[in-house]
Parts: sequence; structure tokens; C-alpha cells
Amino acid sequence: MRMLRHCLALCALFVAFASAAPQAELDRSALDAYRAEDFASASAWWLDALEAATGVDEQGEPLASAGERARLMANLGNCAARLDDWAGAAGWFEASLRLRPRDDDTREKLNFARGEAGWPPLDRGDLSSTTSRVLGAFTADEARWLALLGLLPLIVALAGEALRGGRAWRQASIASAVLWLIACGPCVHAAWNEDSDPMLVISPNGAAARPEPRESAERLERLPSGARFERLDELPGWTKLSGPEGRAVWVPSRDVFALER
Amino acid sequence: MKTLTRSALIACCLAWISGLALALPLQADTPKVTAQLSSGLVRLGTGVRVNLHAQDVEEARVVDVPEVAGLKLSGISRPSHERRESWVNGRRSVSTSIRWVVVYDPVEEGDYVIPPIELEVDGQRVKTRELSFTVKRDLQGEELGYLEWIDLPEHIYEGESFRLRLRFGWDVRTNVNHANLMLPWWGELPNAIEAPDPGDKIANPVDVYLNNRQRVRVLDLGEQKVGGTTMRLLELDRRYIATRSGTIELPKSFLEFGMVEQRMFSERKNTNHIGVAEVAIEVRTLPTEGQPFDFSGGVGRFVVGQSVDRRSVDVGESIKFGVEWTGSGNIEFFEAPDPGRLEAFDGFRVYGRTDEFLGDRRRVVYDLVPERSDVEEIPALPLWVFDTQTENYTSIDTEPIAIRVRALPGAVGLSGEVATGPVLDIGDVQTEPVGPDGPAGPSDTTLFAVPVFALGGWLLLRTRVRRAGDPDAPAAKARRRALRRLRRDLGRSTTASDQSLAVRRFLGARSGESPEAWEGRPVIDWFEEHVGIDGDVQRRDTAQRTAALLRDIDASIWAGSNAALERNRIEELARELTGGLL
Repeated sequence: MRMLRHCLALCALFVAFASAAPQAELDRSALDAYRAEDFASASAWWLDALEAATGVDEQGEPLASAGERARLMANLGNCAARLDDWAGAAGWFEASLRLRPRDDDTREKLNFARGEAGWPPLDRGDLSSTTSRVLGAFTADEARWLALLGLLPLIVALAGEALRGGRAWRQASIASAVLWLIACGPCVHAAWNEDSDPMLVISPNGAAARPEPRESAERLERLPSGARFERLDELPGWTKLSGPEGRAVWVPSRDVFALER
Repeated sequence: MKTLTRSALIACCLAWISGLALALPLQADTPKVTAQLSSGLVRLGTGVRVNLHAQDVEEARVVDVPEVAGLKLSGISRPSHERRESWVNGRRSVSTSIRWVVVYDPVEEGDYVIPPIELEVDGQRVKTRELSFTVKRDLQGEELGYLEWIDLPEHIYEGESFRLRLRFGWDVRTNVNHANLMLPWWGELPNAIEAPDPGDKIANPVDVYLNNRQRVRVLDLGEQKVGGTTMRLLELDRRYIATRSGTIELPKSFLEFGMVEQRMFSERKNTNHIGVAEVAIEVRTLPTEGQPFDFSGGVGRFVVGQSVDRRSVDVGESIKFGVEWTGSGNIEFFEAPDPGRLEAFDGFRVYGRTDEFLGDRRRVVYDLVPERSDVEEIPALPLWVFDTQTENYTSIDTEPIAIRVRALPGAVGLSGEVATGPVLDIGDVQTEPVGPDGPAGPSDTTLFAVPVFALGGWLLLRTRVRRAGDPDAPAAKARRRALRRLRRDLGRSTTASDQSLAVRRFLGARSGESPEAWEGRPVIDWFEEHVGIDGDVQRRDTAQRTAALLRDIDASIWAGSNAALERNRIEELARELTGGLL
């Protein structure tokens, strides 16, 4: 029985190594191409690496960590920037930040790329932006742990209140409850955005929104460059978005960038 | 309406109304519609035409043509559509206009006013101004008066500035106290706008009547010989800018001069009339061939002059470079050149400019700052214009001005400063693979269940604890703190009396009684009664040791030594009591 367990463990290790090896190889090739200033090839290699790193293995485990995928996306952003596609670069950096939200290096790159693309900075410095940034500073797993660990002080305070009573324990309980609710903020934020599939308009002239997925359809409006809209559906070459005022519109897929990858 | 006599009051009212009618179309943002009479003075039996002209409109129609007593409405023509295109700096401008002609036949001699004619232009109702003219049975005075156009151009180009000079006068031997210019085109000149009024710059100004209802300032030329006759000459001089290609029509104009005697409610006229034939000026389109990219829109003849406020500066210091354009061109309308966009001015930074039109000249002052010490002159500043004399596009250049620019000690110039400033760029790619993620977050069930259990547990525990009394009551607090207080009291105790008080406080707090209750109390009996030590050897032993402790303390006190007992013995027993008995 023990032998069988060892064999299974070895097989699992081999499968993991086998899936990691092509990605590492692709990553190395991409890095070589980038250093040789062949940014188009580097971009292609890193796209392949990202594809190889995306998905789950037979055990249902992800093929690569979210951090690693975020790194590949950030590098793809670098390639886009070097190819003077600053809007595309901003898209890759933002997609990377969604997986690794506290990566200051990528955040700086994103702000720079947005500036070069002629867009305003993501963090406008107002209350709404700051709140959104604080709530989004955690991954979904981190946010869940935070919500759970934030419960510990509350449990202690409630136990004290139950056993000892008194104003101090009551106040401690209330304070702990407030702290716990605050700690739940990132988790609620993550849950709220869990099913979102935002698309970034990266065409410098905006994206022409049409009621149907064909060029001959009448153009309803032009979605502004740098704006985000929810993806509803997709057809070859066309993406259906929830446009302004919630109206469903079709735009050419080349004009938008999927931030959820 | 026929008015044979007009009182002064009516004249004032009419002048005020016509002034208002003239002013309103200028103030309001309405389509431009003009109405011109073919002549301000007509001989009886001759028709008078009203030319209606709607500019830059798509659709227009005449809503109502007023009937005038003494005038027979002969007819109105069909609308005549006109469309013109022009190109300036690669920009195409298209203008469309619609014309009508309304013809009236006077049936009686007199002064007439045609009320405003209403038109509907692009869905908007507009009215023309009132038109006035005079019908005379006989026109006399050709030999006594003088009226002539001076240097009237036959053709001009769109955008070009041109002057209308109408010289007029009368024989000095004629008695004249009244002069009235009848200019049907005044204020209604299509395809042109009037340049700012230079009235205050006329050397010898004289006011004469214009179209019977307003006054206009003209130049007094004094007495001069005209064809062998000495005449008192005056001149009306106005400057216009042609706004679009087409024709500028100047209908037949008249001068009325003579004696007018004002009475209480009327006036008596003894006047003569002289006219000048109608003329037209052709406005040509600017040629697109050879038009430079930097064409400023200037049309005509220009002369340029330049000046600087200083010629020796340090790098980074400002030089005020003034350029002044004069001439017969449209100096107020061209776009002044921008040195910041000219390669020749690479050594300079342009910090701004002031631009002003001074009536007869255009002055632009540029704020130039040399960036390098090797700059030796302010280069020629070109202005591309269309010269109407040579009919070619030409550049009017300023003269280069030599300057000396000194380098600041240790300075590298403005451009150097820029180059050494921080240069922003994105960072390098991330080469190190990132390790595995942290532990997976707790499941939804855990996230929901733990708070629910915590809340339920708190409620259960709280209820159970409260059954035994309020844990925050003073007795409960004293009971919890009894052992801690005993230790503290024992630490301070030096005699058996102190220890006795400390132990009784402890026992009182734990049993919920006063310390005095434990003085002389049969301890074993109390434990048997309140705690129940029967059958429990351990408990009975503890009770017995408690009784022994109290006896030993009392013995020490009453034996006279009052020596303190061993502290550990008391503390150990107190812990045992706290653990179960009390």
C-alpha cells in the first residue's frame, strides 16, 4: 500500500515537471528574444508560455501560480510597450495586476503606459479610486483568509463578554465586529467582481459600437479609448459588450482587450 | 404710404426705428438677409427694384411682400440659387445664396418707405430692414453737382481689403444748407463686411445726411476745380473686406443737395439731384495652385517692419521681438506666423505673443528666449500672403536682426537642461519565475459557518454564565480577584494578624460573605453544610487543613509572638480552595 502511494506521488511530480518544462523553455526563449530586441518574437514566446501556464492539471491544480502568470503578462506588456503599442501594454499590465495586485513595479508600468496612451492614471487620487485600490489590493484567496482571520479578535472579545461581562468587553466586542466587517471588505469586493469579465477599449480612436456583429451595421456610437465595458458574448472577430447605459453593442475584437485571462 | 410732408417728430421716430432695425440684425445670431434698392432716387414712370439676398442658407422663401400706397407691386421673381466654393489652406468652404427681385412701380411723386419684407430662412423667420427712396417727376442738378467713384476696383480677391471712395460736391455759387447721400447699398453690401470705422481719424470731418435718416461723417476736401467749375468737394471713404467670391453690386447712388427750410411741422425743400451709375465689383476666388501650406490668409499688399527691445542677452533671457505689418491688405484678418513652428527658430523658445490691431497696422510682439549661446541672429520671419498686384503667393519676410547671446557660467543652455532632466520609461521585464501561490483561501462554507458558530457559541455561553449571576457584579469580580488579592496581601504581611486578615478576606470573597463572618467559624461544619465534603477525602482534607491554618494563625496571634506563618502554605491552600471547594 505504501509502495503504491509512493508511485502515485512520483507520477504526480513527473506530470507537474513535464507541464512546467515547456513553459520554462518558452520563457527562456522569450527572454533571449527580448534581450536581442526582437520584441515581436518575445511577445509570441511569452504568449505561448502564458497559454502553457493557463489551466489546470488532472488533479485540478493550476498549471502555474497566479503570480507566475501575472509575471508573464507584465512581460507581454513590456513587449507591447517596446512595439509602441502603449494601449495594449496598459491592458497587459492591468491584467497582470488583477492577479498580483500589490506588485508596485507593474503598477508603475501601468501608470506610465496609460500616460503614454493618453489616458488618465488608473488611480485618480479621489476617495472612490483610493477605496477601490485598497479593496482590490488582495487576491481572492488572501481576501478570504483576511475575512476569516479578522474573526479571531471578535471571537475572543465575545468570549470575554460572555464570561466576564462588563462595558470594556462589550466595547471590545463592538470594535472587533467593526474590524471584522472592514476585514471582510476585500472579500466582498473580490466576490462582487468574481464573475466580471471586463474589456478595455485599446483602439486609439475608440471602438465603433454596432447593434449587430457586421461592418455594414449602423454605427450607434464610439466607445472611448481607455474605457472598460463588461463582455457579454463573443463571435469570431466580434465582441459583445454591455455598452453605455447598459445597452448591448458589438465591437470589433481587435479594438478591445480582455483583462481577465 | 405716401408722405408728402414729414414733421421733425416723425423723422426722429423713423430714424430711431430704422436705427433699431439696422442694429438688431447685427446683434442677433440670425441668417444674413439683405435687401437693396436699385436706386435711392427714381424718376416717376421708372420702376424700382428691391434685390433680396439670403446668404449661406439652404432653404428660403419670401413670406410676405408688403403693399405700399403710391407704389404698385409689379411682381416678384423666382428664387435664383447660387453656390460657390473656395479653398484656403486645404480647407474647402462652400457658400450658397438665394436671390429674389421685387419690382415696384411708383404712381405718384414723393418719399416712400417700403416696410420690412418677411422671409423664412432655414426654418427661421427674418425681416429685412425698411427701405426708403424718393420719386421725382424731374431730376435736375446734373450741371450744379458732382458725384463720382474714386479709384473703384474692377475686381478684387476674396479676403482682400478694398476702399469705396465716393467723392461729391456742388458749385460754390449754389446755396446749399442740406446734403443727403442716397446710397441704397449702405449697410447692405453682400459678399463683403465693413472694416472698422476710421471716422475719428478723418482730418476735416463734416456730417451729411445719409439715406434721409442718418448722418455720416465725410472728409471735407474744400473748394477745388472740377471741369472748369469751382466746387465744394466732400468724400465718403469706407474700407471693406470681401468675404466670398461673387459680385459686389453698387446700385445707382444719388446726391441730394440744396436748401431745406424747416418749419414748425414740416419742411420746405428746394433741392437738386445728381446720380452715379450702378457699378459692380467682381470678387475672384483665390487660386489654389501654388498656395503654400503656410498661407496666412493675408490678401493684398503688405509691408513689414521689425524691432527688438535689446540685442545683447544671456541664455534664457527674454527678447521682445516686435513685428508690424501695414499696407492695403487685410491686415486685421490674417493669421500671424508662429516662430515656434519654424525650423529657423530652433535656437529659440517662444514663450508667447501679444497680437493687436491698431486701425492701420497689425502689431505682434513675440517673447523669444535664446536657448543656446551660439545663436547669432533672430532669423527672418516669413508671412505668406497673396499679392493682388502680382496675383501670386509671396512671402513677406522680416529682416534678420543680429543679436549677441552670452552663456551663463556653468550653464548648458535650456535645451541642455531638458536633456539632463529625468527621463521616464517603463522598467525591465521580470526574469525570475514566481513561486507557488499561498494556501488556497477558506471555502465559502467555512466563511459562513465560522461566524455563525461564533455567534451561536457566544449566545449559549452568555446565557449559561448569566444563570449563575451577573459576572460583572462586584461580588463576582471580588471572587475572581480573591486569590490575586491574597497573594498581594500576603506579600505585604509581616505578622500573623496581617495574614489572618488577608486569609479571612480571601475566604469572605470566595464565599460571598464578609471577612468577619469567618472569625471563630467552625470551618469543617461550614464546609460540610455549604460545599458538601462528605465522602470526598480530598475535599475533607482541604477543609481540615483550612481549619488548621486558621487555628495556627490564631495561636500565633494569641501566643504573643504574632509571628507570620509560612506564606507558601497559605497560598497553596488558597489555590486548592479556589480549584474546587470555594
